[in-house]
Amino acid sequence: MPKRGGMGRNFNKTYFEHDNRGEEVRRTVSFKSTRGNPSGSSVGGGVGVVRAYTGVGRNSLKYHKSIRNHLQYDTDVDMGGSGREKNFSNAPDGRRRMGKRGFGRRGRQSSPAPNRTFQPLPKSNTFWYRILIPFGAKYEKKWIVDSLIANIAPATFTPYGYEAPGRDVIFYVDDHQVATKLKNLYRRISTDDGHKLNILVKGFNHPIKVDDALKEVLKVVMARRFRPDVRSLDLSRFHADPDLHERFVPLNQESVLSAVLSLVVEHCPTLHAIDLSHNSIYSLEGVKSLVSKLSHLRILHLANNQMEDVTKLDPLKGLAVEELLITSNPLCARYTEQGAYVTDVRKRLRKLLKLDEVVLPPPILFDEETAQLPPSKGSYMCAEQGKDIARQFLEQFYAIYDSPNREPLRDAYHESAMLSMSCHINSQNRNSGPRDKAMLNAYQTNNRNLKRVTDSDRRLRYLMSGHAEIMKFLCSLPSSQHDPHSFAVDLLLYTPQLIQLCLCGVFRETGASSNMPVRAFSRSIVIVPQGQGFCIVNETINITNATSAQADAAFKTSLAPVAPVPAVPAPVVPLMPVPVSPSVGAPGQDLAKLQMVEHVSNVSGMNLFYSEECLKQNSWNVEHALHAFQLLQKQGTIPNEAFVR
Amino acid sequence: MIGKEQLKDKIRDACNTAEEFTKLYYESMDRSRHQLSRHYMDTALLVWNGTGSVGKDQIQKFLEALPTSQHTVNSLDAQPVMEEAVSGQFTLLIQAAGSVHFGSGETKPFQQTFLITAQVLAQGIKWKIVSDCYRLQEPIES
Repeated sequence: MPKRGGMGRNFNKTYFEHDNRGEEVRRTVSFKSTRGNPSGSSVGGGVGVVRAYTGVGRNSLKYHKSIRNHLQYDTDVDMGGSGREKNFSNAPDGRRRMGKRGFGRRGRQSSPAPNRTFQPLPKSNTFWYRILIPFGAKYEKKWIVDSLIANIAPATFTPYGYEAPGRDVIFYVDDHQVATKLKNLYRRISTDDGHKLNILVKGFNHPIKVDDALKEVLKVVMARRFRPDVRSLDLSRFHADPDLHERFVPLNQESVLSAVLSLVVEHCPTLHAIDLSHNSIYSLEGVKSLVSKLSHLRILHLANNQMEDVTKLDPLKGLAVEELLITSNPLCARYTEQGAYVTDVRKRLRKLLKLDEVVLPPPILFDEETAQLPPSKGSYMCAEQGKDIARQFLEQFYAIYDSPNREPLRDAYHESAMLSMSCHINSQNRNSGPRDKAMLNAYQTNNRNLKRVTDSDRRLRYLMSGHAEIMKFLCSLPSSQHDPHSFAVDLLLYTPQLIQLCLCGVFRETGASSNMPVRAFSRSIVIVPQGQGFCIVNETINITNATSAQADAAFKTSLAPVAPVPAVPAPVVPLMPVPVSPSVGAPGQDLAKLQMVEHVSNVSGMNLFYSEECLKQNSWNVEHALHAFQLLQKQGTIPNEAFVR
Repeated sequence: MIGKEQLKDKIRDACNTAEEFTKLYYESMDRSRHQLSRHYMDTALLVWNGTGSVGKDQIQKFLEALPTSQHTVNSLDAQPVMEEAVSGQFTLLIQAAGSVHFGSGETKPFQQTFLITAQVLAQGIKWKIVSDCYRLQEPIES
């Protein structure tokens, strides 16, 4: 044994010095040592030992030596033994084997096997491997799978997402060793029709698209795995679920995990326990915002995943998790002392009481802030009677605004109204998706964001004033489609003299493509009564990119969001034909009279219109008006509509 | 009707006041919230993500119950409200937007609109909030 080891070391030394590919081998090994799965569920041989060494100490040089020794040892045994050419399991790199035999470079060059067979299979970043068998579609799935399994025994695998699109067969495996073995079967299995199976293996690295159909399947699978009595969700080995393994649904991919967690947040925000074990999860960074919503989560199982180091738990910060199971992740092997491990994990999950089934001493916490954000609500109305007016006004407004011709909106504005628009990009949304990345170029020309426009003249110029300027500006903005289901309308002031409302929601531009970016907007409007209707005197518009949550929720509620307005029927004057105290609309209305109207309205229960009429007929004397009201009410001559608000 | 030059002055005033006001408001909101109610009129209305609070005291109570906050204003706009609509009282419409995080929560975009008016008080003329509408940018659950 020592002799062998010695030989190997000498050999390796020269090998590394003279052959670049050897360097590559060494790099691969050290890579494995950090990426390896210490659980070693189905691993044996070199890789497994490399893993075992990772946790021993921190001297990486020592690792390399040990690893090298080990690999040499293994290979030597292999060489010296039966020489089973079939068994490549302990030698991911065929070249090294040959080298060891001392064939030298020439020997390698004359190797009859195609070169690629002997390229080591790099570890996949996603821990998934795509197996492609060109022209495999003509063979039965069972035959292919059985032949492959027979040739890599005792290892075995499940061909996830097995499909034959066209002539080829594609499936996925999640074990590097199995993938390597499969790769080494390249042209080694003969088919009935005299061909040899081509087997091409590479790391899987494509975004998975989660469409609505898949979401429905996920919903069903999750519902089956959910226990409502204890509010726990078992998502372990999710890809292997009988309803999913025909597809390829790796939970360690951000799109899948994100879809799954979105469903949790949507349907069970008070989830108490979740089991994510055995899913090769290596990052939670992309689902941080969803995870942070699980404020009721107390038990979290993350065992047998690929969490590299303790910082991978950072996205869990702030959760009130009390039990964490995280055994068999690469991060565990980085610790030699239990104390350091507990400290580091607890830094992230400060309320942890139990780690890997071990009860921890109770945490000593600061008496920290317990304040919670109040839940968000929909529209707020400061006055019930303003509800219909706000609704009608906005309905009419957006019917025209979203139509091909915004010109009729002229009548919605006072002749000396002011309008300005500001826009900015929310940087934290910027990377949430390509849709949200879209810049707001179309809105920059008249962007009056005072944070950026500091020049006094420009501040004046960008404030549109009067019909002509406002209409020119509104018509210059891109055509749009607003999602009325996204609207929150807050009515802030509702007096006969003045109405103020804020509206926020999302819209998208229409035109070029069907997949236009979703924008978020907020409009603040000051409205005064005018004639028989109302008009806007002040308006500020803020436009920004939608959050990914907004973009996902946009245009979902209804398939035909806004009834398209075919060529707006001519005059929409007055914009709001609601009979609310017509004469109150006169600008500069005496405040005292308005207060009288409100007072009479409050005492009598009549609406503002009738209250005003009543006051007028009694020469604006409140006492007389109320007296008259009582008389008329006794007589029963007041029409019912006087009390309709 | 006021003259054109006079209106220009008012617009300049509105912009400067909006800058000063928002600076003061968000500093106070984030660092000394117990004093925030002084900026509100006695009868002011705050609508915070759909929850209404009426009157200075109720507003103070509501705001103080919120977790600690850190606001960053990225966008600001302001206009003088048309005189005729407010009986000649100098009133501004101010719209701010940016990002915020509450407590240890994630950073979220927000939009806020103030209607502030120059109120004549014993101590002089002060800007006071008539209405305040705050919205986190998120899908609305109806």
